[in-house]
Amino acid sequence: MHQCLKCGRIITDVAQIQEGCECGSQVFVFIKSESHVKKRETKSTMSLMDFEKGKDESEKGKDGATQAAHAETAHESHAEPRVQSSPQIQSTVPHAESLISSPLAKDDEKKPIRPDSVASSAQGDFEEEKWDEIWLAKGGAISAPDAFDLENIRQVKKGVYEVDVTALAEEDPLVIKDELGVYYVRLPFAEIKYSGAGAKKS
Amino acid sequence: MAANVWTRFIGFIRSIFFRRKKLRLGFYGSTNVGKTTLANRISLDMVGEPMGKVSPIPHETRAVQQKEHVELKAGGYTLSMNLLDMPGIAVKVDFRDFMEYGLSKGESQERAKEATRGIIEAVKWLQNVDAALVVLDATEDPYNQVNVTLLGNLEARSIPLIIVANKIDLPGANTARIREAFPDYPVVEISAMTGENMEKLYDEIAIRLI
Repeated sequence: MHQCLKCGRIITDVAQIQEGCECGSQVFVFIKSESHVKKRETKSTMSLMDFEKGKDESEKGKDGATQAAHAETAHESHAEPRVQSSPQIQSTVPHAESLISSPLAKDDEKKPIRPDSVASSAQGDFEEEKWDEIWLAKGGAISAPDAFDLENIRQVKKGVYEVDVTALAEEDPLVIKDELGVYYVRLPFAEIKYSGAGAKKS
Repeated sequence: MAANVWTRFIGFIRSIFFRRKKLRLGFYGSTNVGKTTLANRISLDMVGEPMGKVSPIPHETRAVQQKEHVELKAGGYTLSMNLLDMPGIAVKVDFRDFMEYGLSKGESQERAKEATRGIIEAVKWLQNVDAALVVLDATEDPYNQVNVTLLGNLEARSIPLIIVANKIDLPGANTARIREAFPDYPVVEISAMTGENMEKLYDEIAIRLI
């Protein structure tokens, strides 16, 4: 599931993630486990509370005798949480960054595998914490075509793939190499069409 | 005299327009079905020397092995062939499978890489073969992804083929199952290991390919 970084809304629908949150934000944090949800909830409660507080104040303002006088205040207070929440969101961003990197398998893998393409840019000892940073710094950064060997698609980490688009455009077999180094080949053959057991379609 | 000249002229014309190049005969199939054993058997029978190394470890043949100028004589005709022993085709190459045969992890990973490269090479060679022997292990279920897609592709390219049901000397060999699975293709049952029915295969090659 994903959580909106701005309003904290939990979103499970992929289509909605693509469209963006109802609050207008398109920045989401992937949340893997319930513990993460709880952590995120406690962190996002503050901003949500502020938002609700502002909302309540605006509603109270509407109910007050000096509705017209408070209307402007209410409008401001309604908008205020959005503005106020920004620094709070910013304050949670470092945590969010750590959450962003975690679905990229930090928790899933005991031994991270360093992709060759990124390895070339990472001198010295490999630091898992910097892996995403390095990878993203390379342009979002799909490897250069020559970084591929046999495979057209390489799983560099769980959920992270590099694709040799040029090779895929050709009629070569589709070769996928997983993070362990196991190759999967999809043969580009035409298959015989069978209508039943041993009976070939004309 | 005139007839002799005419016959020679016709022969000359035929040699120009109907001259068959050396037929490139590819040996295709899954891994460890006996492609190299069969290629060795044919090469030994016709040239007197083997083509490649045989091993129980899958993907022993990881590059295309070629034997040129192999001549098959049948019924007064001679078929000149280039034998092309292809790497075994598989849809998954797992280096851990090789480690079970005692290879180190590094050796296994390298072998997996070479095997995958071999599969790609074999697939690309489909554009350059004139005919194919599709070798199947008669002790195994013939209806698998490799066999079906391989036969479909050869058919799509109009490449003449013969299915070779190999290993009939082994217990559990079931050639009827192969005929049932692929009823539209010629099937020859042989044992490349013992040489059983090899003459029948040569006859079939002569009938189909000369």
